[in-house]
Amino acid sequence: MSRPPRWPLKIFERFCDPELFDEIGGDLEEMYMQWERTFGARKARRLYIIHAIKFLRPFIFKKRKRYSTNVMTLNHFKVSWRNIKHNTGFASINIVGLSLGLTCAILIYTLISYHLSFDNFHGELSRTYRFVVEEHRQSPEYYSVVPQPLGKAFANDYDFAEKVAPHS
Amino acid sequence: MRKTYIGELEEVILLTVAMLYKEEAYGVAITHKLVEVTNREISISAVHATLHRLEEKGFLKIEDRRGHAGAGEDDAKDISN
Repeated sequence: MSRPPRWPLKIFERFCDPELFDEIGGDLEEMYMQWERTFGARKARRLYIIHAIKFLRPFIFKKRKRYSTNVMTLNHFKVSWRNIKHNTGFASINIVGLSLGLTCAILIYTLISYHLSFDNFHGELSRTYRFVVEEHRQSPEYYSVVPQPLGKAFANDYDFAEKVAPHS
Repeated sequence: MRKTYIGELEEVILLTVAMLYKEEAYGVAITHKLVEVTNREISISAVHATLHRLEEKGFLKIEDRRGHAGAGEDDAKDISN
């Protein structure tokens, strides 16, 4: 009566669920003994190895315990609150800085999106332009009023002027 | 219970467990009984995998009967009926 080779189960032991491991090992050993009786040691050995490899199925692997993920949340909040209280100076600088930065970003975003929200209904928006007057005196001033002949002159002198129209 | 329907092999193995569970319905015994009754070769690992699937689906319960028969085997118990 010979023994089955050790190494297949040694490899198994590493990642196999310990409860299943006994089961599988016992059954394989019993099968080995029967194979040895019917086929002899050599073939039994080979069959043992083949069947051990066949056991490499997903169900034998150790099941990772799934802890619920929100167990630590309350503790994290507690610890961060204590840290804030402990380093009041830096914490307040950080908090004030972050909130200031966020406020600025949000305000700039709303301002710009407000300014970009006008006159968007035109069909060929990317090819439509509007003339304005920019006057530089003490400070630059803008007027939405242009001299009347400008439209015609622009259309005559520049070939990229497809269509010109006045509006009020 | 993940799925409640069972496949053909699962059914055959569940029936075999029902035949054997009064004595010892464990991997090797089920494999031999299957060969004896249905005359089909089935590897021991397939039997184990099917048993675990059946347990997951709730048709049977695998219990550890270590020291009962000396070999330290886990016996399957049919709880479907």
